[in-house]
Amino acid sequence: MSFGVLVRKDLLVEARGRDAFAALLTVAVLVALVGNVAFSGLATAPVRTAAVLWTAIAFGAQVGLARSFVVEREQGTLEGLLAGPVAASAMFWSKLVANLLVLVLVGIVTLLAAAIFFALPLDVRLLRVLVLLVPGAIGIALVTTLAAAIAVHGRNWILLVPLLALPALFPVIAVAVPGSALALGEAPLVALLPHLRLVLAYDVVMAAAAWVLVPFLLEP
Amino acid sequence: MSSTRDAAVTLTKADLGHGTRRVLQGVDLSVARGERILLLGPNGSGKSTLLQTLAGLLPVHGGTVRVLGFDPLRDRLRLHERVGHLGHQDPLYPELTGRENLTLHARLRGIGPDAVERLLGEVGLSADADRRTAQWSRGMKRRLGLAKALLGTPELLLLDEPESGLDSDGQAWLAEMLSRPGRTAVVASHRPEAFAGRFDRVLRLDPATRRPVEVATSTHAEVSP
Repeated sequence: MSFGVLVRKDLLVEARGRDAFAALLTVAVLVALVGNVAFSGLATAPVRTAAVLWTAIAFGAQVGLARSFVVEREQGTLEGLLAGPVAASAMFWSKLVANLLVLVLVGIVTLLAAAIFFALPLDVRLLRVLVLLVPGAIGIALVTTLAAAIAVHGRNWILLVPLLALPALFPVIAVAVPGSALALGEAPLVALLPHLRLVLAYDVVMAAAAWVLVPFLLEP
Repeated sequence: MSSTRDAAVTLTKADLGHGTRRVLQGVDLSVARGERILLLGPNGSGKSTLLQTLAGLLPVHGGTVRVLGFDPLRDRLRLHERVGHLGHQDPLYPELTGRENLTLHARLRGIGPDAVERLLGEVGLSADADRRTAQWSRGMKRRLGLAKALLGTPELLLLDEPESGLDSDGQAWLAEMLSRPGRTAVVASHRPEAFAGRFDRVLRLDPATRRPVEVATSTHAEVSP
């Protein structure tokens, strides 16, 4: 029960404060703008769009999601929740759901912006990217939220979160970028399956790591 | 003093602290059910550490601690169904209204909206309950924090400077609430005069010995912070 209550709270707080969404969107727009200039003529439009999409999501997550638990600690709400009958793991998984929704939302906005910048047709191929966007975002949200939980009691959390998360994100980005480029190109949907399997396997491994680690990180 | 069986709180040669730093050492303390204890002491003397440990928010470094018969850390979730805790900070989300903040904690405890409305009325916040707490004064936030601590009619209250930021009406309500029959409470404060006659024992945490010392058997007695 506490999980659902906490998810609702995290979504309401994010919807009203828009802290993570604003930070992520700023990074996403900047990456799309720079990518538009820097990659011009270097690769095909699908490859450029995929590169911009995942760069924006991966780096935006470090800016937007890194404060997930630090904000709770600083305003005393972390202690307030832990002083109630709430398992720390419920706090983590609810935060993950809220972070994931923000990531996916920003991913869709970035995808549309990049497609317009790189003159990709706004057709069904953009929808095909969602097959990888959602599971890829799950992996990135898992790793970044876990890094935020690890860094919550440290003073240098703003450095620590990307330091922990970015190396761990390399495998999912290495698979999601070419997969998304395929989805945006002419390849059939079945060609995405190997990429999808790898991303899902990554998600399972990271979810298991979070399941084991979170009680040690957030419980008093 | 009370027997261990009747005690709400028992510390036996307990070492308490943050991280590797021990703030209190070899603490022996017993609080009976229905007893109200006021903790005094200078900043850094360990008042908040003691309260956080009793609330299961800090590990015990040595000795044993039992709260309502539970190990506060190992049995944290079961203990928290029975204990109301308010720390230094008011645990409020500024993006949420007062009612939403209190409802959040009520739902986490499986408590319905009637109790939320009753507590909002009791702490005098019904009229402002639909404003976001970012717009509230310090005293209003403290009142809501106290309402949160009172959710579910807790068997034990652990309050850290609850009078902080409260106006005279709020302080009078707090003193009355703490002196209700059967109330068990451990309260840390720098202002013992705010609770004249409301506590059964007053303990001062001595930074030199790192232990609590009984300085009065009631706040009727004159004690300095």
